[in-house]
Amino acid sequence: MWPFRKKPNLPPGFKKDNQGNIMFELTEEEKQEVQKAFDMVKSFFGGEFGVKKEVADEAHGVIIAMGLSNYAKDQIMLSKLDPNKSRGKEFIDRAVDSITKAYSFCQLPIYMYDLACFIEMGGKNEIAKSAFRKFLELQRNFRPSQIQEMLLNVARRDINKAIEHAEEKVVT
Amino acid sequence: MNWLNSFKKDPLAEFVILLLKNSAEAANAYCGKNFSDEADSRWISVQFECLYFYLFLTDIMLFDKWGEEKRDRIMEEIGLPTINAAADSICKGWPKDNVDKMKGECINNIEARFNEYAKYKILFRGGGEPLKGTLFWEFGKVIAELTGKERNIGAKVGIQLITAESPMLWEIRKFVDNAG
Repeated sequence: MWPFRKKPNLPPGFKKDNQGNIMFELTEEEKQEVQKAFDMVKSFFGGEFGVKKEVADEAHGVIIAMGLSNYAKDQIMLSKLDPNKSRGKEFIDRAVDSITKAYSFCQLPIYMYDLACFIEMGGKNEIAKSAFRKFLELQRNFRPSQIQEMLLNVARRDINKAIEHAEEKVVT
Repeated sequence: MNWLNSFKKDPLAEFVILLLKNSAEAANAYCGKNFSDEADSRWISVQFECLYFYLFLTDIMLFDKWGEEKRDRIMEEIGLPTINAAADSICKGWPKDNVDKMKGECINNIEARFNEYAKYKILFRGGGEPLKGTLFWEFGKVIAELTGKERNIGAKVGIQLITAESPMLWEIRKFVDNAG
């Protein structure tokens, strides 16, 4: 094997364990956003909420993913609103990291779509294109669970629009 | 087609984003586009003043078109979220206590501004009539003071004209008309 091949850099906060699994930690800001998501769900149910034991882990993951995806969305909004345009890339990088983490907690294809869009916003069009392709493939076979369905409604996502957009991107 | 289209429409949230975006652009126009750390506090004050002004215009237009009850309901949904979102975005990275303090100050300021602006029943005068005593003139005065141009009559007139020609006014009108 060519010994000088460039090793892919993992973003800050991500690392590999001995088995080659990618590990990450949530940043302080992400943790705050995740906490907000838990608080929001609690307040929606009047302070306390419970789910069946069989879906407890899934519900937990979904709420964490919701917080992380909200954080990613905020970063993109900030990248557009920030008066100091040079900081735009910082916000986009954070959005990419955060949506990647969200996907690891809850495998919604729409997060792959978000990732593709954020990568494209960061100027890496070819990588974005393969992520759009991946999204279309995942979405084709996707049957959301009840909890995932709820999450998609709360997040007000329009899947058909996302598919239409991704299809445009993979042909261009 | 872009990423934002993959969200179902939420007119209130979109209007809040529009308010934030336009107030930031207005602050760029009034302070100069070279945003720098030294200019931070002036720029921030100007952006918040623009937000208060746009919110005030929204408030009076909603009242005029739809009456008190509906105005109150809509303003409750957009007023505080706008201030909070602006403080969160502008004060990114600040300690939480400082951001909360900023939000508290903004709420006091917006109340004071609303009371002040409510005194002016005429929005704008053109055609060489005296500008003093109109809402847009008062807003121009506030911005001129913040940007160190309080003695410059031309600057005050300019600010007033920029504001009166701002596309944000059309956006507010559109939002109010569709609020039914």
